[in-house]
Parts: sequence; structure tokens; C-alpha cells
Amino acid sequence: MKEQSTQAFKKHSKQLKTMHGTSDLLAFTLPALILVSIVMVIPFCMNLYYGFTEWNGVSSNAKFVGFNNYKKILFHDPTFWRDMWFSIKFGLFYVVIVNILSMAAALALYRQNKITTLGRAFLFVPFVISMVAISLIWKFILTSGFQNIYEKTGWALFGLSWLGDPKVAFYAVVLISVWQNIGFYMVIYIAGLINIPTDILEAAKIDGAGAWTTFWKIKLPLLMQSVTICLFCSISFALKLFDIILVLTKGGPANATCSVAYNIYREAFMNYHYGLATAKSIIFFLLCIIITIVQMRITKKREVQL
Amino acid sequence: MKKFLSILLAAMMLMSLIACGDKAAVTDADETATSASGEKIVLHYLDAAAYGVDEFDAMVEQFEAENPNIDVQVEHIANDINTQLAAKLNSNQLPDIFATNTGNETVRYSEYAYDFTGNPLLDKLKDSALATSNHTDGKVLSVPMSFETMGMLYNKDVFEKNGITELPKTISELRAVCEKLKANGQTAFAVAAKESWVLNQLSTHFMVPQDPDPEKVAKGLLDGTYTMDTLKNFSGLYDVLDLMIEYGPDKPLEYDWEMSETALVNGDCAMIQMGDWCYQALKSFNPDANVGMMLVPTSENPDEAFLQNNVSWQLNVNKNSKHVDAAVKFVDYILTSKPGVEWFMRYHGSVPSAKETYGFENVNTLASSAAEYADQTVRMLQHSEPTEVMNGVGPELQAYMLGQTTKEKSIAAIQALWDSVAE
Repeated sequence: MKEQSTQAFKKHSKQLKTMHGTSDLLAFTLPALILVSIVMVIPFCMNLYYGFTEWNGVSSNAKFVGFNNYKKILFHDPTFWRDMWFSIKFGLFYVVIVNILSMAAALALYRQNKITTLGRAFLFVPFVISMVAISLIWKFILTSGFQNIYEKTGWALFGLSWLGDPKVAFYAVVLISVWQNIGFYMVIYIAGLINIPTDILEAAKIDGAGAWTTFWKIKLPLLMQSVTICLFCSISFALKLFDIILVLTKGGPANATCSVAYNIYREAFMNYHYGLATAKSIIFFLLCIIITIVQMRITKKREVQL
Repeated sequence: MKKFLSILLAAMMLMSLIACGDKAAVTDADETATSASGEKIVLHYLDAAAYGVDEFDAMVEQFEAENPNIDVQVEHIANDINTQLAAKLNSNQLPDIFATNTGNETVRYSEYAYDFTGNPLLDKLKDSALATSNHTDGKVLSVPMSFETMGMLYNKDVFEKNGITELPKTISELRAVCEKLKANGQTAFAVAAKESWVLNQLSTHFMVPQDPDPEKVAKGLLDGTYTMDTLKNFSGLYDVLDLMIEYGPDKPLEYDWEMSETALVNGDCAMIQMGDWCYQALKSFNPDANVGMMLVPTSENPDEAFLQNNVSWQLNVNKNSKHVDAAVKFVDYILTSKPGVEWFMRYHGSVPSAKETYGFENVNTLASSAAEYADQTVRMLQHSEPTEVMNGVGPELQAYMLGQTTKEKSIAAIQALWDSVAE
């Protein structure tokens, strides 16, 4: 099925080329290309340069210091690696939990009827709200809200200091991120599930496969394309984690919830080591690239084509 | 709710930033057009005041009425002004006049700042205020706005209800007060321990007993004359932190400044660490609250309890501005004119840096309550701290409050912050 469509696409694009020539194609891509280079490529190249300087973000001359910033980060900055570890730990929890839950939600809600539509809407709404607003709402829930529930019920879970205890605060951040994003991944999984041809599922049913076997042997292998996308999105979200931290915990208590992105922000805009922060962001960028390439390689291999 | 509103406003501000690009271009255009014909000068002013904003705008209108050839465009940014200012600078839109935090924040802008040396405006300001200006290379690169004082705030009604008539000046007196409150079922402290800046401010109270001159202490810590473990009374900080945990709320590290101030005005706690700048906020949380300021005890010696006072904000004039003279005239108006001084004292609630106060009375009762301790008030140390230390002390003290580290390790970690800057 997929082969057919790619063939059709190739044929179509060939026609396009012969009909209008490359100049037309260029005309279509150029605006996007210009925009991307203005907001991404050029700033990135400037960042490469500032990574080699000592600059406070205000002064008119940035002092060139060679690889000093990189040396400092690699050998003399334990906070960067502490926060890197936080981001990786957060990533592990977040990616696993959010993907399992959103897939479960998708399996429960992919058939179209009134109840599932309502369910999908409920799960998707948090994704539409801004992260800052969500963090503020949760700040209220976790502090006064949980406190009131605790006083009424006496359940220890609600009596915990959700934002004041370093260990618990970590799970609070995971909880909120998962809650907000389930809807997004659920939609991708639902799209994948709808695309599974019903004849295969019927054939499996006739052959006597139960719901469990159908999921593991048919649905999951055919969903691998969605899994690749969802893993990619969730890993990059986890690594970039910033806004919840800024609003909800400010990296605290005692730096327990400081993500790499927040560490870089602090270095640049609170400590005014703009050059150092830039170097950190470049190291971070390289690590992200490596992680996503590895992930794409692994999951791509498992994708099944019909 | 207030936080929510401020975030909402910040979001709107961001939106307006996008719109501002065009607007600035437009005003630039008619600026050149009109100043060529000698009609109207447009001044851009970036302001950091969080309170009395409407009254400030009214004062500006009065200035414009007196100077019909000048049009002042004020932009109020109460949150995160430093980032915004750096962004404006790097997009070549540094305002003609802008406010910065005293200390490093102001010094960073030295190369863009107009030199006030010899300006008659300086004669109208108090010497103690001028001492806080940016004196890089012996110049006067900024002018001071108004004085603010910090120390321990206490709820007078709660103290009275619990029969506490004498304000504590030593740590053991403070402990006695806490015990008395506890016996009556009253929480003593609700310090905003979530805010790293509040904990840092608290820590500086235990650094000033070494020397009332903050620059001397900071310099000594950088060149190794002083160390944190031998700094006079610094270990007292940990005794007070112990009290704040023992006699504080169940979840001390969840308290941000808003929760802390709300707890104080509602009598849910008796004392917090804060400054007189929060007067308007306290009033908005509970208009009937009766709050006073008291010294921060640092040892068993009552003479070593202090308040810290300083000019927190400086005004800078962009020396590359097309209208430097008009900008200086406006700065002079804000700081020393009758409407300007009235704004500071009646609407902003701070002590102006001008000598002449035109007989106005300060509405800020915290400021007047602090004034009673004039002989035990020293200059704020936080403005002499390197930024890395200022941001680093809070998390270290949080770790202590959580029991993750000991007093000795915590002091060593703070020393390491100073050492990392000295390198």
C-alpha cells in the first residue's frame, strides 16, 4: 500500500519537474528556506561563535577565549552534569509512562462513538492550554488543593510536600508533563490504529486470536511507525523541559528539579555568562542529536510494512 | 490570582513586543521629522516600578504639560526587566532612560551610561543615596531612585495577642518568642523559603556584623581576607534557620513570597524575612493588617542585630540617546520635583533620594517603622555580592533546611561559590 503511494508520488513529482522546472520548485521552497535560516540557521551559527567567547550579553565586545568554555563545562562544572542527569532521568520516566498511557488511551478510544469522542476531548484539552497556565493551576492543586484533600481524607499521598520535597517534586514534574501530553500522543496512536486494515483484524479474530494476542502480534507491529514518531516527540520534549520548571519549581527545592534547559537559562540570564551558556547549549544540542539518531535507528528497524 | 494576572500580563507584553517593533519604527520616523522642525522630542523610558504605576503615569503627564516639546513614552516592566533590557540593547533599542538594580546590574551598563559628573541634579540628592550610584572609573554613571529597608517583618496584632511586648534582639530572645507563640498554638515563622532570593537576603543579615561596609566584606571574601567559616556571626544564620524550621509551617519549602506575605497579614504566622517594598502588597492582601519591622538578631549581642537599607534601583541615561538633555531633565523631574517626590512617598511607598521632601509624609508605615532603628541600619550587602553567589546561596540553604547537608558543609559550599568567582 505504502509502496503504491510513494510510486505515485515519485511519478507526480517527476511530472512537476518536467512541467515547471527546478526554478518553480525553488520559488516554493525559498520563502521557507529564508525564514528557517533567519530564525534557526543564522542564530545557530552565531551561537557557535559566542560559544568560544566570554560575553555577559550586554557588553559590546565579546572576548575570544578559544575552547575555555568547553573545558570548563566538561571538567569544572558539576552542576551541568547534575542537571543533565536530572533531564535523562526525567526523560526515562516521562517517555515510558506517557507512551504506555497514551497508547492505552488510544486503544480504548479509537472506535468512533459519542463516549469515545468525549473521552478524547477530555484527554486532549490539557494539550491545548498553555504550559504556563497549566503549571500555575497545578501549583495551586499541589499546594492548597492537596492540603485540603489531606485534611478531609487523611490519605498520606496528599499530605506529602509535593513541591517542597526534592524526591516528590521530581514526580510532580513527571505527573504534570504526562498529564498534559497524553492527548497529543493519543491522537497519533489513534491515527495509527485507524489505519490498520480491518480485514487483517477480522482474519486474526477468525483464527482465534484474543484481544491480547491481537495487540502484541498485529496492532503493535503495525503501530511501530506511530511509536517512532511518539518516541521522537516525547524524547525531545523531555530533553527540552523548561516552562514547567520555571513556573512550578524554579529548579528547586535545593536544585532538585533543575533541567538542562533551565540550567542554560540560568547561566545566560541570571549569572550573565552568555558565552558559557551558549557553549552548554551546543554540547546539549550534540547530545540530543546523538540520542535521537540512536532512537530513530532502533525503532525504524522494527517498523513493519504491509 | 495576582501571580496569574502577572503572567497573563507578561504574555500580553510579549505579544506587544512583536507589535512594538513596528511602533518603534513609526515613532522614530516622526521623531526625526518633528525635532528637525523643533517641535516634539520623544523620550523612551523603561520603568521597573510594580506599584503606583497609574500615579506615575499621571506624574509623567504633568511633566509633559510643563514641557510641551517633550513626549515621554513609559514602558512598565515589573517582572524580569533585566532580560528585557538586554534584549532591547541587543536589538539596538536601548531606551533613552532605563532603571536597573543597584550594583552589578548597573555596572554592566557602564559603557552605555551618561556621566552625571558635575550635573546640578547631584547636589539635590542625599550623599548616602549617591554613594550607591555606579561609580565606575570615578564617574557618576547612574542616579539613585529611592531607599528600601529589609529586615524581619512581624504581625503586631499577633505579638500583642500572645503577650509579647519586647521585640527580640538576640537569638535566644527570638527562641523564647517562638516558644511562647508555640505554646499558644501560633506558628512563628513562614519564611518564603521557596524563593532563593529571600534566603540569600536572609543570609546577608549574618554577614554585615563583620563590617558595616558591604563592599569591604565582599572584597574581603573575594581576596581571601575573610572566609565564610570565620565571618563574624555567620553561623548564627543556621541557628535562626533551625528556628524557622522548628517553629515554621509543615511544608516550609513550598512557601513563595506571596504565600509568606499572606500568612503574615492573616496572622497565620508571626514573622517573616522581607523588606518594606512589600508594603503595598501586604495592604492588598489584607488592608487591616498591622505589620511592623524589627531587627534581625544574629548573636547573643543585641547591638549586633541590624536592618539593611539601600537604594535598590538606579536610573541610567543612554549616552547615545539623541536627546540626552531632555532625558536628564526628565530624570531630574522624577527624582527631585515636587510631583516626583510626592509619587515616591505617597504612591510608591519608598524614601526618595532627594534631600527636599516638600513636607510629604511617607504612606509606607514599614519604612517609618524601620526609621526608628536608624543607628542599627547598615547598607545592604546583597548589591555587592557577585551574581553567582546571589543565585547560589538560596539552593544551598534549602538543602540545609531539608536536612540534606550539615551546617559545616553548607558554609563550605557557600565559600566555594565565592572562590569560584575569585578565580
